[in-house]
Amino acid sequence: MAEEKTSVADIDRSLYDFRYEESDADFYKVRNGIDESIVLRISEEKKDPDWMRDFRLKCLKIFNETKEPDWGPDIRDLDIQKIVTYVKPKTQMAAKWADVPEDIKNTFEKLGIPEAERESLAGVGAQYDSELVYHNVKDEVAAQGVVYTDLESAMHGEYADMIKEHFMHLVPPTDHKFAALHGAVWSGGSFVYVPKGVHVKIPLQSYFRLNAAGAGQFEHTLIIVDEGADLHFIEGCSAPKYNVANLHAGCVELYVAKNAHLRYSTIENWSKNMYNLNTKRAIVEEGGKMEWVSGSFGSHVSYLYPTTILKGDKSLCEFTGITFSGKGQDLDTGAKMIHIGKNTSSVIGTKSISKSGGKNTYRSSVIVNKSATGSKVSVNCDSLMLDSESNSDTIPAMNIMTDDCDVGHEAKIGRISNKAIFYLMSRGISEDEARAMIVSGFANPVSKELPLEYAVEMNNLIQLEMKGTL
Amino acid sequence: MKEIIEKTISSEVNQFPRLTWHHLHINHGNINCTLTDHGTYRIKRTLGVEVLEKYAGHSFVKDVPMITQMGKAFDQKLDAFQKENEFVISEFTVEAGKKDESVKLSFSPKDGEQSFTDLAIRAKENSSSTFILSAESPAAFSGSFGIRLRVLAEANALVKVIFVNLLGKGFTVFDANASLVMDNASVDFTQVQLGGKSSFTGVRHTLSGYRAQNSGRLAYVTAENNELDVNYVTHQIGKETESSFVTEGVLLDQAKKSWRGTIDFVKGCVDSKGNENENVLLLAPAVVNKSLPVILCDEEAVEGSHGTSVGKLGKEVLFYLQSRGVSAKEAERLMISAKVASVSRFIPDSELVQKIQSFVEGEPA
Repeated sequence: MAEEKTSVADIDRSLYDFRYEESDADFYKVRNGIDESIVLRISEEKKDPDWMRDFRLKCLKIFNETKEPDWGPDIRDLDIQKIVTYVKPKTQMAAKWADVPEDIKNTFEKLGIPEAERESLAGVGAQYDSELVYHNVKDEVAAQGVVYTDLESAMHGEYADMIKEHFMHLVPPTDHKFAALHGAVWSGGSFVYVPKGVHVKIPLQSYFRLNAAGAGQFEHTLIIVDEGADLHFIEGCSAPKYNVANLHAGCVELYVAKNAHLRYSTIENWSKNMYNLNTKRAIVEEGGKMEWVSGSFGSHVSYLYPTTILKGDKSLCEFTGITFSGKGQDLDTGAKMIHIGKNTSSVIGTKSISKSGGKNTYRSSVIVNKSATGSKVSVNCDSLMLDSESNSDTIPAMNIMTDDCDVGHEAKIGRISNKAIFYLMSRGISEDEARAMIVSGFANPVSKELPLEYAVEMNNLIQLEMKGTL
Repeated sequence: MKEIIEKTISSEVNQFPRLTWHHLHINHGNINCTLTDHGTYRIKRTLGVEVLEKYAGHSFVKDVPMITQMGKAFDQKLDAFQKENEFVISEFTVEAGKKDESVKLSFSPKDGEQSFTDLAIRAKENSSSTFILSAESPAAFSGSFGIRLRVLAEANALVKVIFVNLLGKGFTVFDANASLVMDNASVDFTQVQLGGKSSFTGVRHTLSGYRAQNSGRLAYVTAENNELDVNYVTHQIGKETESSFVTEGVLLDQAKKSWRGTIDFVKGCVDSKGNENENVLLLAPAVVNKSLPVILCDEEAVEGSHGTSVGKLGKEVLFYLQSRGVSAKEAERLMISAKVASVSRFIPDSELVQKIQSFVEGEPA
């Protein structure tokens, strides 16, 4: 009997599926669940200023009063009362890898972070569970006036006012239930400030590793790219797989000033027990440019829609993303664009691949306000299904409130074209290779936007394993 | 004579099969209308079509339940109105093997009329038929006007349905439609929505049979502060089914429009194809256009595509026309006429097509 052909194996997570025991001696954990005493305990641990403590409590109230979304993937199995919202390694944040505790250092060594830092990054922040354990920025970058530090240090130091002015203003806690949760229990994350006119030639990166079973990670990233400045920021994340749910409800707030440029690249590879309820938002001033590059490969359930507010005239945004959903995954991803300024433009290009019963939903929203005259929008989403067990939906909404705009959208869904396979085979390429080439080509528009090392990682994630007919 | 029990319906309708962000206000429309009477129409038909009036319990729709795309809850309210008032369904049967049969129903509601008409078409095997439904009134008239149409296309049957709304500016209009398409059968819907203050159209096609097909097109011009709410869904269930749907629309003044188009590839519909397209011309700064083109896919071996384009008259087109002595206003009128004509050309009734043209040009019918 012939074996069923597959053209793409599931994501190879063996690289990421390792873990270390977290003893009480080395780690501090709050009890599971969420209530006022836990929020106050976290606030106390972090030595919050009064305004932040009060803010956390306000967020807790909003969280308790807000319902879960009634659209999107089912999250009824996520029991917040079983989640441990704060797990702290009993170590200080280090500026050298040698000073990081052995197990934690080994974790990041296996993930290739120190090597990447040496070879191709301007700075790295490494978060383990709820706290940053390593943060460093190259001297030459710091000398340009670039600030890249953990958010909590910034909140207590010379940037305290800047943090207070911006923290959760772009993503208010009323946005949705898990934004409110984030506001109540956030911990870790980075603050980046790039001064006027400074071009950071090589990327900064943050890497988030959630090691503890049944825990949540709620890091907050705040980036301000000042007028005329330029930055590429990379974010990576992973976790070992457990039989209990983990939760990621991080928040990313990006401010792109006049004529500035920010590229934000993410490779998300959470384990398949993770509920990834992340919120990312950017606001772009006049002439500014925002680029998102997003690869989503992990999580059991994802709700992820990076949003860009094109506030200034002639601001623009490009979103390039790929989502791969396999067995046991329900990934609801997409993007949102809000046009406010005149002559703004946005481009969304996404690819999705679903396999082995994976469920993939592309969900987007484009809003062109009355004031956004002269705006242009292009949305393109392609979906590839590799078997009939899987599912793929596209739900792109458009709300246009001016006649002076140009909005176009197109989407295609289907399987690997038999004609394309036949064509390649007629040129001497085997069927298995032909399928592999087509899937790789399908993902190429996203992988080519990533720095080379991460494109390689992404291609490794989409490991192609062909099983031919026997 | 039995007193009519009127029904005021205030309901969510045209629900999108999934839900998306509520703040977009696109998941459904909201209708408010009062029904106080059964609609009346003039009929012309060919002899191969039998017309009977039946109570719901005796109609074929009892055994072949079809929920229209305006929604189950709305359908139930219509059922209740029918039952309470002992109103009937007008059931049209196209006999097996009969070709090129046609029926024309002309509705001319009076000023203030608040009526609902329940129609059902059963096209038996190997038949072909065209049903033209037109609703007209002077521009100053107002009221409520509703139609429910359920179509069963049996094996190898071909049914064309045309609905034209040329009602007055004060009307709340709804047409709630459903079709069930069997093996090798085909249903084709053509709609022209020009009249009414608030208009709702919901169409659900269920392509149940092998090689079942549906095709369709909609033209609308929504102006002043009028509203149009559209919900088209095709459930493709059988193997090798095909669906296609095109919308050509124009929005003027302070008009608002919500358009939802869903292609649903149900598991098992191997080798099926579905395509939908919406093209909207915006001709005033205060319009509001909402579009939600959706593909739901549970089957690998299909081809689905959709596209939407929204915008104003292109500069190149305008320049070309102006260089030939056509003013900007005239160019807009030309484009509006062209969009409507691209759909009305599928109407095999020259008199009705002329009425559409006159309506678009703002001339008395």
